[in-house]
Amino acid sequence: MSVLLLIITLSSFSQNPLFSKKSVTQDTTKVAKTELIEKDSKSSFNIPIISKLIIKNARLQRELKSKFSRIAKDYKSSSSLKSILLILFLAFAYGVFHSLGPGHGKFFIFSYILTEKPKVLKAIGISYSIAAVHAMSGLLVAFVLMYIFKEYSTYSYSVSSSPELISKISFFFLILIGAFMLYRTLFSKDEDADMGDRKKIHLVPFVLSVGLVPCPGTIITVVFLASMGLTFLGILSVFFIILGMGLTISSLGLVSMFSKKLILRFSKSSNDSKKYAIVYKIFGVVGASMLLIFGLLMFLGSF
Amino acid sequence: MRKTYLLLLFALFSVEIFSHPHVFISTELKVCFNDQGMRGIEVKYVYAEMFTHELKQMYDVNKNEKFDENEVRVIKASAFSNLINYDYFVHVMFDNKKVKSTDVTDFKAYIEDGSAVYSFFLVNEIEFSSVPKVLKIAPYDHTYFIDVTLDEKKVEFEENTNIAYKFETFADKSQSYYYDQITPECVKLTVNRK
Repeated sequence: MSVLLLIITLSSFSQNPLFSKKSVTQDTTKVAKTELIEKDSKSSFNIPIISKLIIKNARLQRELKSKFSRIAKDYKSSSSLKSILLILFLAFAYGVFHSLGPGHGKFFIFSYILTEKPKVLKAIGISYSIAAVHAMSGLLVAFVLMYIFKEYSTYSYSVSSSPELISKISFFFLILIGAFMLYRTLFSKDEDADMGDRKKIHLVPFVLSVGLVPCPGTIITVVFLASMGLTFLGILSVFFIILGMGLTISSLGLVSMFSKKLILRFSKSSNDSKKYAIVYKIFGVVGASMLLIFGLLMFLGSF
Repeated sequence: MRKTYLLLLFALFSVEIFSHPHVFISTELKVCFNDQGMRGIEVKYVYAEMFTHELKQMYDVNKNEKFDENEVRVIKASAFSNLINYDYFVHVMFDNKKVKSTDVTDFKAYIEDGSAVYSFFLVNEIEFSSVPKVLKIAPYDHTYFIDVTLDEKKVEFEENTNIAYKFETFADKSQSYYYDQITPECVKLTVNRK
């Protein structure tokens, strides 16, 4: 467990470009050197509306964090219940909008729902599990970091891990998960499309692999509050962040679940069980393929 | 036991599906010209409150609410020098060619109006001709761990009587990053020697 904790801590800190010790390729004491480099012609897959949404979401998170820190400072001087409630509400809102941005296993839950046939409560449970693992590992790292700050008054912590290598391996594992789900969907021996007897995939490894990376947003929030002497409020905030994240992930999961059910209902209503089976299989193949392609794109993009 | 190893394996190489961004920086730029063209850019990063707090926790060792000389030295070594691998978040293109600079001077770190600030001079020596060409300067972190934005109201110029320029800002699609989904705000100058 301690090795795991160390690896989690190292990997989370190594993500920030300000700190991560990618090998410094140039000697900065040399005389100024300006190079002109031919730019590779790059075809862009930019989708303007997605770009605008991501940027708007980031600005909103910035606003929320700014309000959060102001109210936390107010609380320190006033200790009012209103401030606590506001802080917790902002933590919840931050969780909602933070998980709307890239990441947090939305893609995974979407693919899982397409390939498997979870019940509503299970889909919600998986979503909240991902959110909980992600935020709680952040909380754990925050305490480790605070211990380091407390014990070592000067900060001389340096990370020698290579975030690029970890990313490449991580994306490769995502490819394996997608390939595994695709294989099961294509070559399942069950004739019955409802797959009532098919052995369910063990979710714990998948939830862990998707959610175990500590949430830096949680780390920053907890360290911020704890440094103001508001450790308990920091821990409580994490639970509200989890509620917010879980709401977003599960909402998107449920939307995909109900959309899938609606489409399957139309195909079932034609009384053609073969057609139903084909449609069901297509969902599974699409879901698993999306995860596989997503993993491939991320893996290739990491080079 | 087998399941434990499987869990550990997945955990060790867990997918870095981390949600971005986590740190926010507002960027102020001052483009500095000389007789031949551009000599460099004065850059100022203003950090948001929470990360300011984190920087103070880590580097304001004597807790005097400011960064002393020694503390600035440590900040430069451990929380700035690595940015050479990220072009110091300032991406410069001239006549459609990427301009890569490897030197910064006059690094300072201080607290101003409650926000941590980094300021430095990014050496970018570019010669202009009498033919107008496009110079683009876009601040961004391509990993999107940090949301680096351009404060359009705080773009300034150190003028030179030999240099003519036209200035505008725009969202530069050709520099889209983070899997092509984020378009940075860019300073666009059409420049030439008089």
